[in-house]
Amino acid sequence: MEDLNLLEEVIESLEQDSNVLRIKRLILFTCHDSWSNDVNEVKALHVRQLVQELMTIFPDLNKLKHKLNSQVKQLSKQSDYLLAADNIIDCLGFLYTLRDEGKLPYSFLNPELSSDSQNGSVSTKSEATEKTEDDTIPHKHNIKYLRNLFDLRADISRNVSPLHAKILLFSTLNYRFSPQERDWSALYTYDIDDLIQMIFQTYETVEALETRLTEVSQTLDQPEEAKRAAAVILQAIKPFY
Amino acid sequence: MSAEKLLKEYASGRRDFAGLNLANANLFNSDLIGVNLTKADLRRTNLVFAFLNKVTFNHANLSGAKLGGATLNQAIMMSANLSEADLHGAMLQRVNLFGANLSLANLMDANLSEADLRSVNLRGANLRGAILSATLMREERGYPPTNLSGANLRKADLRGANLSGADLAGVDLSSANLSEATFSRVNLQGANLSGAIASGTIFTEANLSNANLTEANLKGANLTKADLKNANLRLANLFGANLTKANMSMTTLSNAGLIQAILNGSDLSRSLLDKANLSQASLVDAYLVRANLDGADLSEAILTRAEMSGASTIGTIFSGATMPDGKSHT
Repeated sequence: MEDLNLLEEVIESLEQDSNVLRIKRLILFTCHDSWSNDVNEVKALHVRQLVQELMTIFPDLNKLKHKLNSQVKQLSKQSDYLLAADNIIDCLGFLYTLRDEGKLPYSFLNPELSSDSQNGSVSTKSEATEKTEDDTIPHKHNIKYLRNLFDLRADISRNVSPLHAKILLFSTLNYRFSPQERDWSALYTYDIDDLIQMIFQTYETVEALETRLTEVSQTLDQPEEAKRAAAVILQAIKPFY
Repeated sequence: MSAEKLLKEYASGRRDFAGLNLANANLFNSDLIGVNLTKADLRRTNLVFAFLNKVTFNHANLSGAKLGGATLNQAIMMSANLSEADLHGAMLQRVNLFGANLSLANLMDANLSEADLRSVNLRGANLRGAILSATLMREERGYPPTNLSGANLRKADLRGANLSGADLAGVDLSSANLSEATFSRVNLQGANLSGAIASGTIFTEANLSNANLTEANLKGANLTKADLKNANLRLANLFGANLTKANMSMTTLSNAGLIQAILNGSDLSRSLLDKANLSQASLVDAYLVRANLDGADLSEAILTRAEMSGASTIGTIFSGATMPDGKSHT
């Protein structure tokens, strides 16, 4: 499962940042301990490559945070670079989450290896499933990822009754749920956000999800509404795949 | 009136059903768009998936009613009684619930964006995962403030909402998104905001005493004159936050990020700031008596006229800081 769109979005947002030159300089300084005062040289650097290097050299986000801070301390214009460092962590935190969930292209994480091999996503996925109870507090640095999830929920709930969306998602993941049932406790256990997370873990491609949603919507009590819910969910969720 | 009769009359064009008794009726998936049900008795009525856009329910009794998945967009429900009603996954965009009673109601995953929730009673309500973006809950003179005490707002979306003066004592707002919302003068005593996103949120004069704000993101938040006594802000991100004159006596701020934060005139007596990052923070006139600053980073911080008697500073970094006497630390 590759989130090329989200990766490109993050890289784009760094490129467009008003502080981009400082961000690039700081990443260069953090990776190679080399400082460049040459504006043209810094302009020529590609954010994509810099981010790739940073993630390769610092696979641990906390260690990256500490390293960035200690690098900034060595500079004379700390104030300006503190903001750049904070922006780097905000953006990269998001990428680290994507990486942990196996959503970054293998070729991005391993630039020196052959891009034909797509098996990397399997190993990173098993790392993600080993998450412990300590990980239940959401990724405190991954603001962009969390904001995107809130937007996803809002997009779905704006265009279709949230309960229709929920019943469809639940039925796709567990068993066919009917509103005529007396026992709604199963549906009360999960909120829409929980169900969306489970969808990400269960369906590797948007095509697989589309097929399954279509199948399931036809079996539900109100197939027309379920069909609409399926369309709304797919449109909102596509950018995440 | 029976459900069948109601639907028949609706089909023939009747819309005014004010004062009607429809208690326990089964109106599952019914189309009742635009009806007037002012003061109607709808206790325990089944309105699951019903279409109730623009319906008027003023002063209606909907206690225990089943409204799961119902579409109530733009409905007018002023002073309605919805206590213990089930609104699971319902659509309530731009609904007017002024003065309504929703105590113990189930609003899980409901969409209430832009709803008017002024003077609403939501005590103990379940709002887990609910969308409350741009809702209005601002206190109105002459009316009791909106009351959410003890409500469950886990993962709720409150972006851009206005809750000034509301009562949220003991609420669970963990992992909720409060960015750019207004919480001025709100009572959040003992509330759980662990992991919440509150960047740019306004908390001026809010009561956050004993609140749990561990790992919350409060980047650029405005906490001027807020009461944070005994609150827990361990590992919170307060980059550039404004804490002018805030009361942080006995507050836990261990490992918190306070880079470029403004703490002028704040009370930090007996607070825990061990390993906190206060680089470039402004602590002019701050009261740090008996504060614990062990291992904290105060490089380039401004401590002019700060009171630091009894403060513990083992391993504290002061390089480039402006000390209380106005002199620069080498």
